[in-house]
Formats: sequence, C-alpha cells, structure tokens
Amino acid sequence: MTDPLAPLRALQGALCARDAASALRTDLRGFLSRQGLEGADLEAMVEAGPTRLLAYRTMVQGRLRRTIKAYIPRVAHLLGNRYAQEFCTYMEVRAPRTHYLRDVPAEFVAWARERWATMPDLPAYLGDLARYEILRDEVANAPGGGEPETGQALALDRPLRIDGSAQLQKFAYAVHEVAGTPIDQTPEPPARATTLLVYRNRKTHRVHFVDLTPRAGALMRRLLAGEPVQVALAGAASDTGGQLNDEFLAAMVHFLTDLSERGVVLGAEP
Amino acid sequence: MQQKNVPTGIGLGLRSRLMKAIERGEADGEIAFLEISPENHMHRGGSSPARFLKLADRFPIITHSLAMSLGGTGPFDAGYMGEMKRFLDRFGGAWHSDHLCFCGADGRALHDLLPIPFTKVCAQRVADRIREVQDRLGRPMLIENISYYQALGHSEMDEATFVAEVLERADCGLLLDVNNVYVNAKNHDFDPYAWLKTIPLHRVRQLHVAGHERWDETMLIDTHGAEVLPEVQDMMSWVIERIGPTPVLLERDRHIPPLAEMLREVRALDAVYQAAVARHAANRAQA
Repeated sequence: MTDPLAPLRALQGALCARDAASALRTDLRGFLSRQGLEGADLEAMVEAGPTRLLAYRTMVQGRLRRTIKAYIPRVAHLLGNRYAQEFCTYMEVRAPRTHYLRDVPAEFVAWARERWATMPDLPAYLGDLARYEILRDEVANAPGGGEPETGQALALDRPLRIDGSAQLQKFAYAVHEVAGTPIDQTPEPPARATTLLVYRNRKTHRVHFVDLTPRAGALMRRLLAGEPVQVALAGAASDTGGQLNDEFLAAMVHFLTDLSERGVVLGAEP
Repeated sequence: MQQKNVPTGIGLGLRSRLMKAIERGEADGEIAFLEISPENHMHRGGSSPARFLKLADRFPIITHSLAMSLGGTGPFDAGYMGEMKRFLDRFGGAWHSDHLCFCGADGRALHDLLPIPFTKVCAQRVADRIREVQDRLGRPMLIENISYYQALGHSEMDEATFVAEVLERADCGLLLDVNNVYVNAKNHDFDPYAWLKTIPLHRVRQLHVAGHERWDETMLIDTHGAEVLPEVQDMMSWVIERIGPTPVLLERDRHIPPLAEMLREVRALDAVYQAAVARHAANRAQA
C-alpha cells in the first residue's frame, strides 16, 4: 500500500533538498522517486510537471531567506553570495523547527555558528557577530521579564531575583564595538574576550547591552544560576583569580546597585 | 446559526504597520473586529504583548493561527499547543481557526501553507487531527481553505469535495476564504460558484477576503498584497446573502497602505456586505 504521507515528504524534499531546483527540471521522476513517491501519486506529480513545485520552492525559501537576512544584515553582507549557499545547506540538513517565524533566525545562527567555526576561509568572528546581531530582537521578544520586585533588601544568604529578560552572552570578539559602523564597512572586531549583559527595560521595553568586567560577568553568571549572593561572590572571586577583599566587595556592591537602578536586580528572593 | 458574542461585519487583521494608527483610535467605530495570529503575540514579552493587551480591551478579537500544521505528519508540539491554549483561554472567542494544509513534515516548520492530498485517507487523518486540536484547546475549530498551486499526489476528489469531506468527518466549521477559491478557480480552471455550491454553507462561520497578484502568465498567487477584486466581492456577497451576518476579514499582508486607505476599502466592502445582509433578511422574510 502506498504511504499516504509520501506526497507530503516529497513536496518537503522539493522545498528543502539542495539539488532540487536542478533535479526537478532535469529528472522530475527520478527526484520524486528518491523522495519515496510511487504509484499513482508519482504519476500524477510527474504529469503535473516541475513548474509549480519550483514556484513553491521559490516562495518558501525566499520568505525564510529574507527573514533570516533581516535579522543578521551585517553577517549576510559579509557572506555575500555565500549567504544563499549557507541558507540552502541549512534548509537541507536542518531547516526551521520552531513554530514562531521570529525565532527562525536564532535557530539558523545556532546551527551556523558551529559550522562556521570549522571553516577557516570565513572570518573567525562571524559566528559571534551573528549571535550578537540577533540578540536585540531575541531579548526584545523574550517571554520572561517584568517580574515584580521582591521588596526585600539584598541578603547574603539568599539568591537575587533578576528580570527574566536578562541574559549573559560571552564572545571571543568585542563584536558590539562594530555595531555602529555602516553595514558595508564593518571593521574586524577586536579579538578580546567579552561578556555582555543584555536586558529589556521594564518600562520602555528598550534593549540594553552592558559590557561587563570579567569579575562582574562571573558574578552575574552565578547569580543568574540562582546561587545565594555570598556563594556567588566567593565563586566569582575564585573564578577570576582574585580575592574576596574589600576592594572586590565594594566594586560588586556598586555593580549590583547599578543593576538594581536599571531594574535588572529586583531584590532578594523571599 | 450565529453564536452569541460573535462580531459580524468587516474586520481587519492586526499588522504591525497599522498598529500605531489603530492605537491612536483611527479605526474606532470603523471595523467590526480585529483578527490576530496568536503566534505573533504568545510566547513573547516586551512591547508587542503590552500593546496588544490595550487593543484587546477596545476591539472584539478573533484568533486565527498560522502554524498548527493540521495536515502535518507528526504529533502536535505540546509546548506550542499549551501556549496556544493559555492564549486562547485569555483572548479567544467562540472559535479558533487555522488552515487546511501542512506546514512541514517530520518536525520541520517551513512557515508556509502547503497542500495536502485530496484523498479519503487524508481527509480522515486530518479530521482526526482537527478533533484532537479541538479537544486540546477546549474550543471549536474552523478550518480555512487555502490557495494551492498544485494538487499533491493523486487526487481522488476535487478540492471542494475534499473540504466538505473534512468538515463532515471533523464536525467543524469553515473559515471560507473566497479569494482562495477565486485564485484556485483561475489556476485550476474551475467554476468558483460550483465550488461554493459543493461545500456545506451551513458550516461557514467566518469569511476572508483579500487581493492577490500574478506569479507568471499561468498562475495567480494569494499574496494579500492588493485590493479585493470585484469578482471576489461578488463571491462574498453571494455567500453572505445565503448565510446572513458573519464576520468578514479584509486581509492585507503585502504593500500595506496607510490605515486611512485600508478603512476606505473596509467601507466599500461593508456597503457590499450590508446589501447582501439586507437581501438575506428579505429572503428570510419571504420564506
């Protein structure tokens, strides 16, 4: 018995397979057979010809390719014609999984970062730059954020409540420093380990980036993981090879006070 | 046939391009409802849901999703369906709708409305999935007929018969997109009114009307990127005359003009709609 789902998979193959555009034109029957189509389904699709399958492919790939490009314009510009090739590979080996169109670019970047890291002919900072480019929209739309303040003062033995939109991103390059340059004149970002705290303002909904020192980054990572303040402070000092002395504590209190004023730290968890 | 708390008349789809003008009150008193796609607002924080919340207080809301993949191959995504149910429990109306199509197979989500085979096996499979969705969401579903550019595989029946078959097997309602019927009629060379006479009109709960564009010399595509053709307005009128007051959405997703221009089209469409409603009332009075 013919698989009733085979036509769906065959159409998906025509939309996603890297070689489909040429294969549909030159060997429609062979291509559809390789997708698992047979019998009356195969004959009907062969009789219909490739034109409208190709139209579907143009529509589907065009929409997704444009959507991703809109979120990573600088990286797409740097890739030039290769962007389309990378997109085609993505469609064949992975393709979007999310139900939310706005999340497709992040899925593409998650897939591409690993791949680009192994490609010596691409700039080493490209993956970092792509991740940076999608951060603003990712945090702007993050489901979390706007949680109520606890009303509790900082207590060493308790974790802090942190606004749900906040996230830390570590980069090998200071990619945020090239953000203001014209897209067609993007300079190579400095190769410097960078930790950015990214959050959405609770009132204006604007996204902010804060370039953290290594010890502030270490502390924030631990606080976001839910460690009590005292444990996080000791851990951050240890992580960065420093000591838990007055200077360190004063700097971290200043940092946490600033985050509280920004509405990122919402008080001690009750 | 009409259910309580269901808006009737011409509504607009909520699009980001129109949002500021709608927020300023420029659509107040001009539209019967806003149709929204939950995927644009759920599983999301920040300004978008905050702005939507204010509009939901001012306009009747009808929900219409894009990504359920009712004709898809795998189980429904539990996270997505859970988010959808929570959203609909808060903002949903008498029904929820999605398309009679698949959006991807085996876990892929291609974000388009792709055709499914016009076969009895497929009709039963999709009907089972629609029933499952109705159970999971706890509310009736409408399915929308799509524009299809090629029949998928061997067809055992024509599209209208297939739609009717799914409706009966799922015991659900129809969101009738008359522009899609028109586009399909042109692309596949059939009489759109014969299509309308084949489907069970008593299952129609909502209509979509839109404009379309030409792909090439042989094919129209449903882009929602132009004004509604008089022929499509006539089809809307034909249906309304037979089923009575119903929510009708004017769709626009490409080349979206300023709201004032959209509202001019709403008013023109409403004149056609009101005339059809009057004929429906007259027919009932005579009967």
